[in-house]
Amino acid sequence: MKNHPLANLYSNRQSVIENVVFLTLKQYSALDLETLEEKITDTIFWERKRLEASSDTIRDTLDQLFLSDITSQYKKLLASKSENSNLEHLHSEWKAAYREELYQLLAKIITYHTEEIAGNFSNYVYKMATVAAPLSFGWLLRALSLKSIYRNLRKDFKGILGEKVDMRRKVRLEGKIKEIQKLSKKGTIILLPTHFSNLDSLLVGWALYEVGLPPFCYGAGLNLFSNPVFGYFMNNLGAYKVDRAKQHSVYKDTLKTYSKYILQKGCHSLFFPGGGRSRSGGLEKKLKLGLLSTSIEAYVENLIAQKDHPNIYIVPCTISYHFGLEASSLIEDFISEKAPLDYMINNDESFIPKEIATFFYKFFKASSTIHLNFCSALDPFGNLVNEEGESVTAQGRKIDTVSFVKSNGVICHDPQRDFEYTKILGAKILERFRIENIALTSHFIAYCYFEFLREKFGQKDIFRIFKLTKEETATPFSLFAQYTIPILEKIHKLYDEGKILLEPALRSNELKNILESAARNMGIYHIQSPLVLTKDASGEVLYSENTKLLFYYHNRMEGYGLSLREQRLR
Amino acid sequence: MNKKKQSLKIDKIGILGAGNWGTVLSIIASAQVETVFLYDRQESRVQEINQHHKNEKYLPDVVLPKNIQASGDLKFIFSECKLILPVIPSSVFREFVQKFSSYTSGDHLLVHGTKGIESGTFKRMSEILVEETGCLRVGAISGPNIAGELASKKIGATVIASHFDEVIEAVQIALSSPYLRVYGNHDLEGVEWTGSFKNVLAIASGVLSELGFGQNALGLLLTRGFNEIRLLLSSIGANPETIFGLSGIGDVIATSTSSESRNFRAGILIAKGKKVSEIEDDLEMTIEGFNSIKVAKSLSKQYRLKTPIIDALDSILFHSHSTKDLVTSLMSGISKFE
Repeated sequence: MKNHPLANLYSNRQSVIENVVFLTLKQYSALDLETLEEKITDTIFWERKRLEASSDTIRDTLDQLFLSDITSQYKKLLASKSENSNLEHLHSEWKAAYREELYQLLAKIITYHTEEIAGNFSNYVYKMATVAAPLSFGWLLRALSLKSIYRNLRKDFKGILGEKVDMRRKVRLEGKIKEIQKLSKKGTIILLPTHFSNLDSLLVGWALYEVGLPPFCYGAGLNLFSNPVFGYFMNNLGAYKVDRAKQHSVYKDTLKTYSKYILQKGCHSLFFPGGGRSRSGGLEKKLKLGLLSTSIEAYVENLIAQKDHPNIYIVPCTISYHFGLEASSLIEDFISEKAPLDYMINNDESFIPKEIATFFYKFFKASSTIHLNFCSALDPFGNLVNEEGESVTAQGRKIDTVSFVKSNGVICHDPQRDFEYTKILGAKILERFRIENIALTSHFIAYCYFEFLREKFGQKDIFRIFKLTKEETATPFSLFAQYTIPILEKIHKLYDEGKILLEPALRSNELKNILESAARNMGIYHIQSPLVLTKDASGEVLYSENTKLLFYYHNRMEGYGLSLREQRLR
Repeated sequence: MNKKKQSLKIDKIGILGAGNWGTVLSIIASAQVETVFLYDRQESRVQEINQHHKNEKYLPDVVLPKNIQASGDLKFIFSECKLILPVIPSSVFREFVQKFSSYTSGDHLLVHGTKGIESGTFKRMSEILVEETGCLRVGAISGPNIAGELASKKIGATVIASHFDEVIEAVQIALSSPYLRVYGNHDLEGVEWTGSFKNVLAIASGVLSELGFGQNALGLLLTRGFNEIRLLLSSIGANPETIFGLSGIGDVIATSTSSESRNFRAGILIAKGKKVSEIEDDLEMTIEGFNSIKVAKSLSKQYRLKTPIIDALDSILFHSHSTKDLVTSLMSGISKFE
């Protein structure tokens, strides 16, 4: 493990920081004085705005002090400039000195951010975190320091965690695992998972270890590091910090340079391309292209440096939960249509130890499974890659990817061209998410049930559905079946056509079994269940205690053209 | 190897299709680049161009410049040129692209000059280029480009649409001339769709002209027709503003009043009672507008749009209705605001 690129990379963390600062600053070398000033003004403006809205953590206090420092330095610089009258008429020597001072200030800002962003890697922590890999979720539970809760639950866990648990039975690792194992030796992998929960980072980390892949560099939200347990492990397992609240271009440039730097060092990397957890419960509809664009930039750099293994492989990855730890907070956030800047929810279930414990307890106790699917790999241009690492067209013809970055026969950077490639790559990743999404019984039933209620009560006003009482939602199984069977036929057809993946239970034609599976899984975690299956005098009835949660799980099936309502409108 | 992009050099260009438009593009490009490779599948035409510098069928009165080299060898053309312009009717476009797809590489810049949409799939020609070749740097040329006028060096303009600046720049280098101004546009989708939909209006104006209506009727047709196209563009996710560019309003003005436009001439023949199949035989040319009407009608139905002009043309061409239906579509209905 000591020879692993990630371990090598962080063996001298200070050198990583210095290199990233140097490379970021290098991008500004051709900028004129006005643009350099703009970079600093932009930083001060956005940081001030951010800190005005939030200044309740130690980190914010430090940021505030730093902001005051650079603001004061910049004011002094501007004052000295105004003393020298109009910039246009300044002496060239003075201009050079002024440029140098602007660079120094930018270097200071970049260094400050790089020190925050940079991760670390500890072999000791890695071994500790993985030696008990088959029990790692059990380990996680212990590590959360919830001794009292754990003690109370221990009785129930006997036979679950007390014995050797086959985690692979609970967490199904599927998809192109062998191919990705091979690709990891032929180039550098960027793993891009869908994002529904703060548990995703840990889940993916475990999955990578479990399938025999080396540790990956993580790009994880800064807020996660404030959780002492998550933070400790993430700080030492190669995670680097991404603060989505920082809006200014110098921060974004630094982050991109950092991401590109670790790729060029051959470190496999992982980030959530949607930029944050899905609020709606649906698959990502748009991706953050900034970080994604580092794939093509690193590829070009690798080619220019004539590296032995220049290839970068993009591996989308879908995660399917029957029930989500933070589903309640996320859907509330989605429905309330909060401003896009409000990325972090710092008080959701993932920050409440008891909620995490309950989640795992119910997850282990129930027949529930989590599905993590490694999708087909892509190159930085969105072409499919075979297990030999070769890019192929849709018709299976091999493609020479080097030619994609040539102009006039020469390999070169072209920011406009490369950004267009990144847009194409983004669209292809979204397509893979959609095609290689593993739909679960709970997603399917939630979709049909919500659509059914929508047709009945709220064709025009979706909010009407959220106000329904459980009595109002009560629906006889026979009526529900009548509505749902055509949708079941549709989704089976999509599966046959290779347009979606279905968990085995959903491939059945027995709607009753599918409904029972959904109720068993989706229904058990939430205090107010999105779906309850019961019996009354007239027969089986389903109802919902929380239609917002039902909507959350429903959204996972959006975008497949399953809606009977929309079909009728057409 | 260099890190920074160098300024683009275009000294050779491949034009695939020695029809009317392909030959005119070759003439224009021949003044800007060292060699133009003009593909034609007919050996006799290749010989005619190389030996006599003539293309009798399409441009009988024009002597072709000597640096236009005809060839029937696609592999050779792709090995020689990085900028390639397929100028092939939409009905055979995919089939033709499949013939050369194995000769392409990622640094080929593929720019088509076909104002049509694939029948059945509703795919744009640039989508077909990407699907079949894997090349991503693709684009489309469109605009008010009546081939005969450009062959006579009468001034005009065209638009090269691509998401890639490099493609736009390459075409501007290869085709800009004292009598052809080449504008760039990043809305590739919008330019391709408007290039196809404007054919509908050209056919309609041919019909009205033959029926003896005047400029007032033409004004009415084009104004209401634009509105229908804007609705279509919005519905399919293209930028409706693109209709105000060369590929939209520019091309409509040129083709809806010119007897040199094949779609306009097709409209005249329709008004004379000719069938669709007879017209293509008579003109010995593919009429892209016929397929454009089918596509427009189908999209209008799919998005449940109100498009009386498109509906009337579809009925006249494909359901044997009278040409008077077009007049009815323009003049019937209750009075309303614009």
